[in-house]
Order: sequence, then structure tokens, then C-alpha cells
Amino acid sequence: MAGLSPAFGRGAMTNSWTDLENTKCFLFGGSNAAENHPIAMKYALRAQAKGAKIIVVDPRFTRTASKADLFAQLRPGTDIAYLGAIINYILEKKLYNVDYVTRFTNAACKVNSNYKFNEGLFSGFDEAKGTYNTDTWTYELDANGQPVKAASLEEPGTVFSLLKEHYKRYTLEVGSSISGIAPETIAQIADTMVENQPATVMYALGMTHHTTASQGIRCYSIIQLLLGNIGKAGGGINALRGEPNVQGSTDFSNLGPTLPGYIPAPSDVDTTTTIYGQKYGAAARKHLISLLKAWYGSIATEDNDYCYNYLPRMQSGKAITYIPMMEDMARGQFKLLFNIGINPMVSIPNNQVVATGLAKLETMVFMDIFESETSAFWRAPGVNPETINTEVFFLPVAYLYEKAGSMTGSGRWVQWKPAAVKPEGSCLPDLDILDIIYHKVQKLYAGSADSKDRAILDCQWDYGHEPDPEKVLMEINGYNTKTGKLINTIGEYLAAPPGDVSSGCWVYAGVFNNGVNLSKRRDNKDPSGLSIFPTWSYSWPANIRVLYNRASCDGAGQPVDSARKLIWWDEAKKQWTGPDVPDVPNRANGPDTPDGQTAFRMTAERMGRLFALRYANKPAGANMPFAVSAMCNDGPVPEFYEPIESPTGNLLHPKVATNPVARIRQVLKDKQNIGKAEDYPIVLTTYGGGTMHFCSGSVTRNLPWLVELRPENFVEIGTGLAKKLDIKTGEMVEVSSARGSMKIKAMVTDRIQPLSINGKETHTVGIAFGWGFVGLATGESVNCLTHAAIDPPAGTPEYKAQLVNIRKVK
Amino acid sequence: MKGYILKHETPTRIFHWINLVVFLLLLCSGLAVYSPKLQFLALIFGGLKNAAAAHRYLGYAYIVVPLIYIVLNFGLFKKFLNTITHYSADDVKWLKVGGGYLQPFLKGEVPPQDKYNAGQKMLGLMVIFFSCLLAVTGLLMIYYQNVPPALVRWSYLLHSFSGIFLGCGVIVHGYLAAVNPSSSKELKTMLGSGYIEEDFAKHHNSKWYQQVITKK
Amino acid sequence: MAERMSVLYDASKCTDCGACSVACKQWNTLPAEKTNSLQGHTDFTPRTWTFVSSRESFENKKMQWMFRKQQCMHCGDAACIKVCSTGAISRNDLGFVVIDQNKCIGDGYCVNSCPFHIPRVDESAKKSYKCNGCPDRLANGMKPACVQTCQPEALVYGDRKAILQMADDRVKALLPKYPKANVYGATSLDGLNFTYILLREPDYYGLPANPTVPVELTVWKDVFHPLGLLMVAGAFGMTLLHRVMQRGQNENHPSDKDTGSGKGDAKG
Repeated sequence: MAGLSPAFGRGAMTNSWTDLENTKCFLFGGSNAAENHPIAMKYALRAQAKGAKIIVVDPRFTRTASKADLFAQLRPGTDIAYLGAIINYILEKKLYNVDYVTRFTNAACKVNSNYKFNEGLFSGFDEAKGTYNTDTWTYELDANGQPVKAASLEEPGTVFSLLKEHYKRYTLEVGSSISGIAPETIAQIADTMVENQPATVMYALGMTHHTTASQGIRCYSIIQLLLGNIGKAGGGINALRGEPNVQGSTDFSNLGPTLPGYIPAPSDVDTTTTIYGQKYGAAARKHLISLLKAWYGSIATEDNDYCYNYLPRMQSGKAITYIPMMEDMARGQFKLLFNIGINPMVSIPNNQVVATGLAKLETMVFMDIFESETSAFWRAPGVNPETINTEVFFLPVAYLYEKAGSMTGSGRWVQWKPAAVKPEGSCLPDLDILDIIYHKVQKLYAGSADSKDRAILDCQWDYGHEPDPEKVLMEINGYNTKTGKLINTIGEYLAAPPGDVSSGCWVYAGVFNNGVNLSKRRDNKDPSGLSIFPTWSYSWPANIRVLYNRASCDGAGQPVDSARKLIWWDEAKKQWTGPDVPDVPNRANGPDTPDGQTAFRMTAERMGRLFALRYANKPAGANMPFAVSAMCNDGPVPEFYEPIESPTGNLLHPKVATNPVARIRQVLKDKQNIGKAEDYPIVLTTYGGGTMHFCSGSVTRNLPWLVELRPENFVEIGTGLAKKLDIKTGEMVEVSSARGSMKIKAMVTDRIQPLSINGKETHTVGIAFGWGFVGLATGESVNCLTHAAIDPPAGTPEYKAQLVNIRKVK
Repeated sequence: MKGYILKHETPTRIFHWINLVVFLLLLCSGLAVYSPKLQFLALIFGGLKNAAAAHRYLGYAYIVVPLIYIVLNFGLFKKFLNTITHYSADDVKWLKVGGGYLQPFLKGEVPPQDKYNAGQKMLGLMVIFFSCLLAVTGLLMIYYQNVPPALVRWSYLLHSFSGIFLGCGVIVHGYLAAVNPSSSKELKTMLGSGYIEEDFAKHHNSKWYQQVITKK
Repeated sequence: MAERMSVLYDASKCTDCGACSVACKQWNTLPAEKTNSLQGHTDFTPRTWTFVSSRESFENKKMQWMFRKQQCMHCGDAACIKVCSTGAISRNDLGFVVIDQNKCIGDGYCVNSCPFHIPRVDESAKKSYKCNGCPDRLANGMKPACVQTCQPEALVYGDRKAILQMADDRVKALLPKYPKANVYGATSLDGLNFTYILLREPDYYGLPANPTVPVELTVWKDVFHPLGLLMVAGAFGMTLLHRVMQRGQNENHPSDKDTGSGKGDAKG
């Protein structure tokens, strides 16, 4: 997500689940879909039955790998090494799609001559702060502020030539030495994708749980742009989001630094909406105002800057994602925690920090369906409840099938579901509980003269006496603030001036049309046969099913693949048309216009970005840019760095071994140390519980039929390593890291083979993370071993690559 | 008693009848699960499940009771075994003329016989042999969980064959010993005092009779 | 007479997710049990009627992980039907083999006779249990619970002819990648209603290459069984005949005549 937005302009899965049937080649890199996204696997298997190839790259031979036509085992955290080698291979052998690259990407744009990369560092690194100054990560601009375009891609100083230069170091041998994948296999992966197009990439947490996560995904974006797979049926980059409505929740700012609709959250220096707009663009400003109108209604006017000052603002330079929040809690900075549908004691790395933090709270309000390790933290093994002063309120909530509302799948389909059954006993849907709390809070603040309380008192919160989730969706869809009518299309929303529309999440504008809730649609007709299903639910934005689909057409606006015609320019009707909704700025503007030549209209430069440079497009005479392209704060182009805990040195630049921007914090003394390879020579990777146990297991480890299938956790140890350590399946072993240790049963398997890394035999072991001390089935939590270094752009922790040691327990 | 000689001692008679009752119950319960056509036999036991359970328990009895008899009356058993394992030319001839029971199909003079005629000797051997086979296969069938399946399947075949074969034997033996006029006096002896009429013995089991009166 | 229906299991699509085994438990209200393996069930029990087993092999530096869903194969010529002493097992119209629990006495004959060793007896209840092909669902036009749930579409339910055609077509498509792929159960034992597409030789999956009804069962039930009934009937019949024929025909020895008392009567 944080890798996709800088590349294409939107951080979401580009295609859809059903679109997978159009694919000729899958690269599962960082996804074990067969076990963690089984429904997605269905579509991949359908495609395979029609002749599609499946490539799987994973530290273990998983159940997904069991279906692969080509499997490559890699060392956890080294994806960029082999993906960089693939980029180099594609560039050297000229396997890229010249027309596509020239037409739709910034390949020919010239880069600021002060941009440099040397020995692991990009230009602008501030050693003291540990961050980059991005002033040199820019284009060479012309008089109109547009990027200068060279006559040919190969001209020195272009994005393209700098790309080639950057990945020259990534030979097949280098990629192999670092990742453990044989050089010929890396080449075979590249050749298979090139020869079987459209090819798609499937990734999940296997890619995002690293300190180089966003850059890893940026590698996919580069490969897919070079091959010309973005915007095509059967192509794209498919981020497999989590089943608990992760796509829906990130759409609604589950990520700390955003507001609903991926609007950047303002920080303390953004004191007005104008300043905000100058920084983030007029478009973002408009979305922010629409959001404020949704929350504050007619009270938000131009005069009071749309109640902008009611919004809490982030402290500049301070990270507010989940991990830093837990660390602040461990420092005693929180009194009250609302813990809703999440289990940090199990799922947060270095969970000693969580235990410390929770014990410092005065109150925890716990909303979930089962007691979990988090609600029961005060009686965790080794804890004396007498020493804990936290008061825990357990509010039992309705489960998934007991409450109405919409869920948004990875493919951006907003699907409404009614409540199938009534909740048990006194369980309530989350909405009802939050509604009760909010109204009570408003009452408590009634009559206050304090200006800071206006944020609560002026809030337009009314979804009915028993709150109706559909009213919430209406607010999200948005209204015309002058007429009070529901907005009908996102086009209507975008055309309106700021303040004339409200929307709780602008990307969902248009989910209602003529008063009809489109997310309820269940008409499964597919006239084109391309698995578009245009009348099933609502795909944000604008019901576009395949994002960037203009890229599936040539310069004249005609589809390049006669078997996969998504959209095209209809010269007779003078409009873009087709079975999918055209992802173009204006349907009436044909290929003879600039609008009709762009496929990536959501980036500021309206191009796919091979280099994710800093750019804002400011029309002449405007006081703020229209849009600002998103960036990764740790580099404009991906570079391989070793995981924070690594069994080996960095072959490319030993002095800058790990991501220089990835922050490692120390809050608890001696509980957050980073381990060295001499003490902890074995690589640990962690993952989900497959089809049997889900997330932290707080639900599934209480279900007898699931516990029956997976009654206990185990560490997967390769036969080679097991022989060395004299360990057999079923024996108890102790796994330890620089932060803690745990006991767990061993499972010896051939599914993990030793790899030769930089000339040394290296072993990986794997443990599923979703276990804890509460439930029918219990086990120790592997996150007592892990450290919490995070990916700088996305804030995701490096769960997948840690160092441990193992010994048999007598 | 005048005119009577002792043929079967008391332990023998008790054992004979217990064994017969056990066998008949086993036969009925066995036949009930042998064929769906004979399921009505299970009514005696109150249903097929009970019949199957009864068959297992009675099966243990069918092993234990004879063992008790043999251990407590080893001398008697030894004599019995001796008689039924010795065959002379007279025995062979007896068989050839069908013991005189199959006229007009098999004709001829019935030669002198021992305590048990040739047919009874053979029945005795068959009862011992097939009972052992029933016991072994029966145990294999009860403990099928611990036995190779192929062995258990052969046991089904051998067990049911043995049971039916002995059943037929019991029917014929029962008929001859209890119903057929020319031999039915044996019933009174086995069921009653154990003594058989001298005249009967002189005619049917002359060689044994000679031995007995010589001893006297 | 309804068309013979069948289920096709395609090992190339199965991902060992276990949903089929949970669906079976849910539909048949079977309780969860303690398993003794780290990766779920490895054998049937009276309360576990289907599960997925797996086998790993690492040969020539290539890893393979094969799965097979196990359940009653619903044989066309079922050894269990042949051997059942109470006639509790039968085939329904659609071709699936069902145990009538009202008639079952749990003697375990089916357990020993099944070429795939599938039924399991609950010793305390004295009943035998196995997959029954969801007869109540099929009778109402639904698919078996496992088939309905299977999300990689490894299980297909349909008319047997269509299923066999599908299997042949699929194996043809699989041969380039899996040279040993084969259809298992097309004709063995009059065709197995649960037909498999296997990716390797049956032996690798623990399946008999040529499953047959054990010969001793055929000898017993088809030959000896009627013979035995004949023997018993014959013994009765012959003795009856003998009695009838003997009446008044044979000159009994005087000593044979019953004199009326069993003791001490000297009349000769």
C-alpha cells in the first residue's frame, strides 16, 4: 500500500479477485494464499487449470508452493535482492515493453543532477536525525514546472538510465548470493513472467513485514511497469489484504498518519487548510474539507476554515503508528485504552513492551467476542494480579454475522451484508456501543465553554436511535451540502467546489446512486466474460474494477490484447467506453488530448513512477499545487538492505548494512536489544496460522473443530538443522532471541532447506504467531522473541526476519 | 441295578448337557447374525445387538466349561479320547453299512462296536476339532482390532463353517440319540441315571460290553 | 431409478485447508476430538468421517507435498455391504453406501472387510460409523457438505458419466506437469462413487493399486453362505425324512424297544 501509492497514485490492489482468472502467470512473492487467502487461491487455481503458470517465492515450501509450477526458496528479508536482479535482467536483455514504458511512465523524465546514490545512501541523508532531506529527489523542471522529458529513454540523467545504473550491481549471482535462490532460477522467474503475459503479482504480509517493506513492493511496481502489466486484465499488483476488513479499515484511516480516504493527517505546522493544501495539494484539501463537512455539517463554514481546528494534529516528526503508541504506553503516557477487536499481547512484536504498557493504564475498555491475552494480560503466566491496577471493562460485541454493514475486500469491492442472526445475550454491534458512548460523552460535555470541547459538541452524530449502519454509509457516500441530497457519482463529488459537498470517505463517493445502495447489488452477470461483474456490489472508485485500465490501450486508445478488452476510445461516440469503467480524467477527452494519454492520473505528474520522486503539479497562477505525488521516505528507488537482525553482512555495502531510516527504539532496558549473528545464528520467520487459526487466534483457538485440526503450535525446522541439533518431531525445544525465549514443539520437515548465503550455510525456522495463554488451545506467543523495528514509510514491523537460537529442552 | 450297566458317569452327563445348551444358544445367536433371513432367532435374546453380545459371552463359556471338565476329570477324558482315536476294521465296516441306519440305501450286517460306534467316534473327534477352531477363530473375531484383517476375514469363513457343520452334526446326533427308535434309549441314559440296559449294550456296543462284564 | 451420482476429488486443486472435515462435523453434529498429530487427524474415528492427509517428499532437490482427502469411497461393489451380518449397510438410489444405525450391531465386520480400511466401530455404543455421502442433503437436491464447502473447487458433485469425463479431461491436462497423474476409481469395484484424480501412483498415497473385494469374503458370502443354509436345512430335512421312512419299516432289535421305565426293569 505505502509502496503502491508512490508508484501509481492509489494504494490499493489494482485488479480484483475475479480478475485473476484472466492471468497467464502468477508471482506469489510474500503470500501463502492457499493457507491465508484461500478464496483468492480459488481464482488462481482456475487460471492455472486454463494454463496459467504459478511461481511461488517463499522462505518455506508452503501449501501454495505445492501448487507451483516454479518454486524458489529464499532467505527471509531478501526479496529486493532477487527482484533487483530481475529488474536488471529485464533491462539488460531489453525485455521491457518500450511503448508502454515510454507512454505511461516517467522513464524519460530527467532527474535533478544533484541526486546521487552511493554505498547504500541516497543523497540528502541526515545522519543525526536518521532521515532523508528529499530536496535532491526531484525532476529537472521546465519553465512551467513540468518534468523535462528527454528525447530517448537511454539519454543520461533520465529516470530510465538512472534505473539501469542503480540495478547494474544486481547481477544474477549477487541476487543469488544474498537471497539463496539459484541464479538460473532468478532468470527463470523473469523469463516465465515475460513469456506468459499478462502476469500478476500476489503479495501479502510476507512482503510488508520488513524494514524494507514499501521498497519491496516498489520493486514489484517497477517490474510490472517495465513489463506493461499495470492496468490490464490479468495483470496488476494484487495486495492480499487481511480478512478482518483490512481494506475497509485502511480506507477509514486505520493507518495512523491518514484520515479517511487516505488524506494525509495534518501535523502541528499545518495550521490552516490553505497551508495544508500548499503542502498536500488542492485535491487533498478539498477531500479534507468534505470530511469536515460530513462531521460538522453546516457548522463547518469557510469562515471558520471548516472547523479545521477541531482536528487533533500530529506532532511533527513523531510517529504515531501502533508500535510507537505501545511504546508511549509503556512510558506511562496513557490512562485509557479502547482495545477494539485487536490482541496486541499476541500480535505486537516485542510484546514485553505491550505487557508493560497495559499495566500502566488506569482503564482498558475491551470490545471483542472472546476473552483474549490482552483482556487477561493481568493474569498472564508469571504475572501477579495483585501488582496490576488496571481496571478492565469487557464489552461483549456482536460477531461478524450478527451485525449489518459493509465490508471492503482487497479488490475494493464494497459489499453490504445484512445481519444473518441476532447477537447473543447482551452483545451489541460495535456501532451501537460507540454510539452510546459518544452520546454519553457529548452529554457530559454539554454546556462547556471551553473551546476545545466544541470538537465534540459540534459533531453531527446522528444515525438513528438504534444506529443504522446504512445511515453511516450515506454519510460516507456524501451529500450535496446545498440541497441535502445524496451525491450520485464520484464525478459529481469531484466537480463540486470545496464545501459544497460532504463525504465521510471521498473514495466511496458514488456508492449510493439515485438513493440506491450499490454495495447491496448482487447481480452476477458478466457480459464481457472478463470477470468484471459490473453490477455486483460497488468497486471504489467509480466502480472501476481494474485500476489504470487506460494502460490496456495503445496510443490510439485501442486495446492491445484482443482477448482482454477492458476499455477503448469510441471515435463515433467520442468517449471512452467498455465493459469496465474507464479510469481516465474525462471520458470525453480522447487520445488526441493529454487527458487521453494518461493512465496514472492520480499521481501529480500523471505518470507511473519508476522513480518515486518528489513532485507537486502547480498550475500557473495557483496558490497551491493541485496534487502532490506520494513518496517513500527511505528512497526514491528500492535498494536492498539486510534485515535489522541478519545472519550475514551486506554484500552490496557492508558499512550501511540495514535500512538507515528504519528506527529502532529502546523503551524497556534489556528487553529490546538487537541480537548478533554469533549468538543467534538461525533465521526466524513468522506467519499466520493457515486455514485453521486466524490472526492472534483469539477467536479460532476457542472453536473446538478448529482446535481439533490444529491443537498446538510448533516450530518448523528443516531436516538438515534438526539433525545438527538432534531434534525430532514432537520434542520440546527452546527458541530464544535477544529479547526473550519460549518453549514449543518441533516439527521436522523438508519444507525448509538450508540455503547458501554469501558462501555460508544458513538455516531458517518458522513459527506461526497466533498463539497465547488464553483459549481452548494455548501456547507461547512468538512475539516475545521479535523486535519492533519498522518500515519507515508504512510502519509495519519486521516480523518476518529475526535471529534466534534453538536447543532441545531436556 | 440288575440288567443295567454304567455307561456315563455323573460329571460326564452334567458336562454334556451344559455344553449342549451353551452350544445351542451359540448356534441360535450365531445363525441370527449369520443371515438376515434368520434374524427371528435373535428374539430369544431380545434383539440382534443382544444376540451378538450373548454370543461373545457364551463363546467364552464354551471354552471355559470344557476346560474345567477336563481338568477335574482328566481320567474320564483320557479314556474318552482313547476310544474315539482308535479305529479297527469293524469301525470301517460299520461306516460302510451306515451303521444300519440308512436302509434300504445301505444294507449289510452291522459289526460289533466299542463303547461308541464308529459314527460316534468320528462325531467326537469332529466336535473337539471344530470346537477348537470355533474358539480360535471366535477369539480372533472378538479381538479383530489387534489382528491382521485378512486373518479376521478367514476367521469369518472358518467360524461360520465350523459352527454350521457342528450344528448339522448336533442335529443328526440329537436325532439318533434321542428320536430314532433304534437308538433313542441313549437319551434316557445320558439324561437319567447314566446306566444303559445290558441288552441294548450287548447289541449295539458288544465289544465294550464284553470288557465291562469281564472286569466285573 | 435415479442417475448414479458421484463426487470427484482433484488432488491438483486441494490445498489441505481442512474445511471439508469441519463442514462434515458441522452437518453431522459430530464433536471435535483430541488429535495426536501436530497437523490434525491422521486416521478415521467413529466421530471423524473425513480428513485430508498429506505426504512430503524431497527427491532430486525438488520438494513435493501431496494431499488426499480421505473418506468412504462408496464402492460400486462394496465389501461392507456384502459382509454386514445384519444387512444394515446398503446403497441408496444415487449410489452412496449408507449404514442404517438402527440395524447396526457394531460387530466390526465392515471394518475388516473394507479394502480401504475406513469404517470405525464405537465400542461402547456398538455402532459402526463412516462417511454416508450426506443422504439427507442429496435427497433435497443439495451437494454433500464437503463438496459445498470446498473453496479451491477440488470437489465436484454430479452425474457419474459427466464426472468421469471431467476426470479424464483433467488428467490429460495434468500429464505434462504430473506424468503419473491418474484417475482412481473409474472402474475398480464397479466404480468408486468417490473418484480421485491422483498426481502420483496410488501406492504413494497409501491406496491399493487394484482394490478388490477380498476373495475370502466372496467365498464366504457367495459360496459358503447359501451352502451353509442348505446344510442346516438339509440336516433337518434328512432327519425328518429318516424318521418318516423308519416308521414301521425297520425291524428293531427287541432291545431297542422302549419298555416304559428307565430303571431296573428286567423285561427283555
